[in-house]
Amino acid sequence: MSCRTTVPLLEPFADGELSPEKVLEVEQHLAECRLCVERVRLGKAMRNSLRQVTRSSAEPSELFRQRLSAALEATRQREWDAQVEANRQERQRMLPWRTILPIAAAATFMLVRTATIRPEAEAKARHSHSPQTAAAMAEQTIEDLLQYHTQGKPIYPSADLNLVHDMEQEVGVPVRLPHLTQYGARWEGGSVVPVRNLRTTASFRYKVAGHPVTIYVYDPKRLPIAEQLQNRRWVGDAQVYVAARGKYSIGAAEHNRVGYAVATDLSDSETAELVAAVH
Amino acid sequence: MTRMMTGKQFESEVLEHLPSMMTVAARLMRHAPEAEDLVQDSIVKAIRARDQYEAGTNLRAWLLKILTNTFINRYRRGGLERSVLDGPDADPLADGWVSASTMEALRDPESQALRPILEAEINQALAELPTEFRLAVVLSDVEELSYKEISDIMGCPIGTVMSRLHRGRRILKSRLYEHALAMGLVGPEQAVGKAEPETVVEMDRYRAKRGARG
Repeated sequence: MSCRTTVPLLEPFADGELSPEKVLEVEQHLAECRLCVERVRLGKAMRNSLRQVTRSSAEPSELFRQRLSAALEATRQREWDAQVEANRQERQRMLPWRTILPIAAAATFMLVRTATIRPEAEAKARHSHSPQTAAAMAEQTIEDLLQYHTQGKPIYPSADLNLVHDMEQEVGVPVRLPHLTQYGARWEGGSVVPVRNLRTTASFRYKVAGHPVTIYVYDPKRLPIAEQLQNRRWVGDAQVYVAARGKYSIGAAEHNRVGYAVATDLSDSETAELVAAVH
Repeated sequence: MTRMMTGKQFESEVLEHLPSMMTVAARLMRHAPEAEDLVQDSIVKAIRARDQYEAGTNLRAWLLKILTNTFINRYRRGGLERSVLDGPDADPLADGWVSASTMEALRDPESQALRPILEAEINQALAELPTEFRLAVVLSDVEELSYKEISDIMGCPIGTVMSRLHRGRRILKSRLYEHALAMGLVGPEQAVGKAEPETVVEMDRYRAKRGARG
């Protein structure tokens, strides 16, 4: 190869954009042409100096980092407000006859998304629903809910509203923020929690007056929790079910084909009130 | 399965590329506060548009594309210029303007960079390049992006990227050479007519061919 044919290849060569065959041709030419070697070296020297000069002059200042983080905080707040507003409108659409409580932006939640639900496992769980096993399954469900309530830690403690959609896909029902501000509830974290080996419940952990409270949102067709709890009560116009296990209480209710459950160490009636309030 | 990222995680991944965004913005804008505004607006846009980012692709290139588009939308309503600047390159041997020993004299033998006195000149030389050339050179030489990624960022074909890079680098080299001449680092007699013998032969052949054709 001559200089004339090599020179147009020198830059793509130095930029790592040549095919292996062309690289070989260029290298063969470089082995016998000092001028082209110098062209490559000058190109490299210029690149090294450019990096040196441009990188050292572009360090973000501490002041700018602060300004940026304030701007990002404001962006998060705007997204949050938009989400809260969207939730409010959705609730109004779904519950036209109810008084809509003001939804405070106190609760935030996160989604843990890991494995998708295994269809065969789910089918098995559904089909094994015979009278003999119903009681055992009910007990297993309550155990799983309490197990997470007492030992499980929410995996993501911080807020992200844009994952509501994904959380809904995971549990298969509309998921909306529980609003427990009237009880002074403090947000602790969120997870998608498996019950009977199925990743079927969106959970939110709160502290209410020092007591841990775990709220579960699920599809009652897949997890008929309410009908597995024996004691039916009315809280206002809401029908709820509660059961006690040791010092813990489980409450469940269904609303607009969405299931809500609450695990607490509060009394049965307090638990019933909470589960009536969450949806 | 695609990896799910929370907003917070995405935000911190974005912020890892803050230095790159600052580097490019500082070369697009004349003054530091303007460059900071450009970076801030681009990052906010990127966070809001995070659903459009394809996991597994080059996040830095995606961010620099947003930054470039933000720059064009705000300061270059007509987009980047093309017609005048992007024509085919007439003479690939135009690089043969100096001898090997002159090129060698521009480098620092130790650092594999330019001689410090020339390196100091690079800022100014870069600032004077047309924006299209400057952006291509920074994306390739500083940010080490591929031609494909640069063509995506600048919204032009790969051939145009190559031509912008070549012309930008050639202008930079001329500027540095002129500076070296003015500083007395190289002598003018080295620059013209005293190329290496084999190159003279090549040149002559080349000129003869061109003459025969034209």
